[in-house]
Amino acid sequence: MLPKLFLWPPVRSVTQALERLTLLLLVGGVLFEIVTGLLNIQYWYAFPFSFYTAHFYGAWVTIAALVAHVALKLPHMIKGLRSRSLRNELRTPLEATHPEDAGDDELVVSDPKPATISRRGLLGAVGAGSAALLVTTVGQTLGGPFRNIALLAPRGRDQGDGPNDFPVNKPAAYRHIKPSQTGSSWRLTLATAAGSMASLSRPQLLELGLHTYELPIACVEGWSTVQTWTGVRLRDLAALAGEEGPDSVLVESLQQGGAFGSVLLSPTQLLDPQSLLALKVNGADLSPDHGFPARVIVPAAPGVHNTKWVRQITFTKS
Amino acid sequence: MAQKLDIFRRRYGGSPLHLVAMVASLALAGFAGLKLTQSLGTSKTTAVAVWLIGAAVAHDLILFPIYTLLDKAGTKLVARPRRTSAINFIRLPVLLSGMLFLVYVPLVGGFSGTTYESITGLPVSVYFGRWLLITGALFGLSGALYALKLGVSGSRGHPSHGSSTESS
Repeated sequence: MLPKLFLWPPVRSVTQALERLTLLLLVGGVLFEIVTGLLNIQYWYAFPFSFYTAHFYGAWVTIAALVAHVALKLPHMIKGLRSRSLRNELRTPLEATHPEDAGDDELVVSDPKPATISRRGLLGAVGAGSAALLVTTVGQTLGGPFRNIALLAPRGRDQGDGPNDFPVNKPAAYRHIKPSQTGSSWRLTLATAAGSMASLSRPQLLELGLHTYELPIACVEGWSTVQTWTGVRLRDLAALAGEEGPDSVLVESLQQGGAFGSVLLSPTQLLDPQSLLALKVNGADLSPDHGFPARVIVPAAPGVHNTKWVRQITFTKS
Repeated sequence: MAQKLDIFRRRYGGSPLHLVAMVASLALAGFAGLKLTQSLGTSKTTAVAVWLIGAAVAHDLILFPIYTLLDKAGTKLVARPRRTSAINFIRLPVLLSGMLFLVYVPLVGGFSGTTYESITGLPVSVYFGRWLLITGALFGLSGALYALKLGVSGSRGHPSHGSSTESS
């Protein structure tokens, strides 16, 4: 298809002009999403705009161009795929690889050089590329021993030993959490819209009914980890605060900076029996980097919504 | 009706459905651009547009000519009779190693440097070494496979054992 890019004159009809414009948005959109996404998960903030906003609207531009392009080219694609049998191509070596018949198809090169790679070879090369990315990345998501084979992935690293050995999104020092804030003077504040306030220390929280669940942290940056968390159910905290059926739950952290220092949870997230204010992980106290003294763990929420270093939970009712 | 359709096709160069798809696609893209301007402002939206269009232009006018010329040079270098497919034993490791480099260039090239290190508390320098090792392993494996293939086709291509063009 690329030789068609350099045809002269570049525009010969309205159809072609519109098509080339949407193709520019398609190719640009796909590259934009991939490049900004890759820069973001590797913390090279080279772009002068907000990642989330640009990536979100960039996706809409890409989807619009992709859907239109697939709709227009689907008959062409089906015709092309049906013209050859996959089984035969997989048995055809380079010596027997011949160029496409030109016919009346404008996409076929009219006077090609002899083939230097078989069709099965090209298919294999694309497959090898996918496999290379899979192998160097998937350990970030599978975790456990597989994390060691994620050689190039940003979250394929060893965090040390013990029950707190799993990836940290942002460490305590990065969010300016001081040991004096999380020591014996730390209190969890439970607030309601009605204005009632309750304050609990960590030993008091540990005396409440504790529950243990195996739950994942799944980061939108492409890594995840499943751990065993122990803590107080969020709905038990709501009852303790005197708010049985709140409309929303605002969780606030001690952290400074970052877009997720306070997070709004939905009533369904609050009511899930597995939604915890976790105090321990794998039987040990949370480490400072994993959110000591207490962090939220909610099933199926994006990792950034599992707020660490929680200082206040506000239950509101409209 | 059919006559009107013919006139449309002649004037526009495609079917009415084509025009509908194009306009729908451009309208949605325009709407996304408008929403983006509302949340980021004009100057940052311009920056997004420059990056988006720039990505396509950079690929088509810089990256594409570079890898085409490299491939032509490589093909010429190994172009000897009966050795056409040798180029693929260079192409594949170059493709895989180059793709991994491009995908992980912030870490492999150390561009994430201080940000990565302050977020993870771990040095970023390990990635360049790991990439070199992977590259070395890929070329080593490819070389070994090529040697194996030469050995096989060499014994097959022996005068008393038929034609050398049988090798794949």
